[in-house]
Amino acid sequence: MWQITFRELKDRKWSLLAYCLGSLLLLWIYAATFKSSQASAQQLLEVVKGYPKGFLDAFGLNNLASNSIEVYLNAKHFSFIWPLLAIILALSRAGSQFAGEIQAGTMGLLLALPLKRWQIFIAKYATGLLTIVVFTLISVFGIIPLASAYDIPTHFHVLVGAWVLTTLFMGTVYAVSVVVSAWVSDKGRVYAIVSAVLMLTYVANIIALLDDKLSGLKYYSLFYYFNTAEVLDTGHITTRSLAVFGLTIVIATVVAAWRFSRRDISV
Amino acid sequence: MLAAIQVKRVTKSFGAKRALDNVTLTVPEGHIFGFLGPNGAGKTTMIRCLMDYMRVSHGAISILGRDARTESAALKREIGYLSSDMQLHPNWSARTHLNFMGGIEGRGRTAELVRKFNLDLKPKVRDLSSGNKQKLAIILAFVGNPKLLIMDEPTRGLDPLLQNQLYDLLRDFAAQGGTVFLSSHNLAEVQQLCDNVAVIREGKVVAAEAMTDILQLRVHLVNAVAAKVIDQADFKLKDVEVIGGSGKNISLKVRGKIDPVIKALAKYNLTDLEVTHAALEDVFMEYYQN
Repeated sequence: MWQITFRELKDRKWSLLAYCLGSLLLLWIYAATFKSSQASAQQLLEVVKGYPKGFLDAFGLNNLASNSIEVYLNAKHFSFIWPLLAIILALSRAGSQFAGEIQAGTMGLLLALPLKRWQIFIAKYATGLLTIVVFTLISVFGIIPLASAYDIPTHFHVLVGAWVLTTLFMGTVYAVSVVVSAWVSDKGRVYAIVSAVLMLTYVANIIALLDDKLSGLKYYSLFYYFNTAEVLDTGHITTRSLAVFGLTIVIATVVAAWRFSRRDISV
Repeated sequence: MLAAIQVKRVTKSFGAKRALDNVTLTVPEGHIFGFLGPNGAGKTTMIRCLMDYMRVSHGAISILGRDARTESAALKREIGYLSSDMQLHPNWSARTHLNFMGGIEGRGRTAELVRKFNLDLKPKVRDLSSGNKQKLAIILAFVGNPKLLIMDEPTRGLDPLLQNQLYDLLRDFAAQGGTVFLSSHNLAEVQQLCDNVAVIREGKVVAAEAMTDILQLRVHLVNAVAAKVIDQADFKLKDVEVIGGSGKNISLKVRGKIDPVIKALAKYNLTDLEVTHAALEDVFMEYYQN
């Protein structure tokens, strides 16, 4: 069964490498520009001090007074670009692993093997999880050598917290995408459905932050629990975030495995 | 004789449509079993149910004495499968396919078959011709020394020489006790290869018999030439159809017993008479059309 995991990792190593290098390249840019940005932070603080708190929270501008590289990374990287990269990687993996293989017909080869459906599911799911772990490790801890090259101190416990949160966030996007991928037979539909859901939850979080009357909407958004501002400032992850991400991953994984094991596959 | 495959009252529905309707079949061990039917009749659905790619709505399938649903994983160690539209990984080479499948199931006769089919293992699948892709798919079906081969149109894309090689391979496999369940649109192929045959039409099995029985019992073609003009009205008999001829010639298709036609022909002074069993194609056209 692990031959499937090994083979998938081998087949997709170049795209994973590209994502990791892209992420490292961005971290390098942020490390290189950190010191010069500190000088202009005060000016920026003056500009945004009249803005609503919700707006600052939504766009990661709430900790500009802090002078750590981690807070700078939150404002520049983890509040928008990183989630985008993570969502694209997790969604594309989930879509191609199940619905994509059914659509291409190559799932037929796997189903002809003397393996139970759930074993095939676990083998493929493990590939996705390993991809996520490798990507988050590199895209979070990659800042340590890059920052040290510019004599910028990093805070390991903060980065550990950030790694846990980013891994949980990406794992949640992946698990939810796998549910859809195990349900349909067309990866385009997986991308469309999951993108629409994520877009809605993102908009819900923004609306909740900007309008107090609708603040309850935030609880329905994945992005509310992905609170990188706090984690990259203090290293602390709220129990609520851990519970929501953890439960979503477990429930989505069980539902996806159940669906994949029971469905008809026309290949 | 033991049954390699036993299908009991299997129904498979997709919403209101029944792709398989109360199908019952027995495939004897050590035989080559042909499964025929027009497009959309339910052949591929039946094969997908055998392979547990699809789950039956009602009924039961047992393969080599085991339940095809609950023991599917263990059974696949003993089943070699070739689908009608086997999609291989375009970026893998033939060698990668064999290593991957063989690594899980065991290599079996693959090295011997690679030599027999003269398949180059190095190129990526996307660079292989359709014939070579089909060769690879056939070799993959033999990965792990199967006892049962389930093949959906196995000769598609193969040239006549390779078709004959495959026929020999399947006959040899059956002679050594293996069982072959194959669907095909090539009726001549089924006629020369199969010991038993079943015909499926609109999800129902309309015939399942030994090949010799199905050919001998069903349809005869009669061509007669008489010394005088033949009156076609003499042949307006039950299950007899005039399909050609004029004047002193007549061609008849006879379903069932041939005796009444011979009696009708006896009234004429015949100068030539030819009675042949209908080709499998004629037999199946009867099933398809009626």
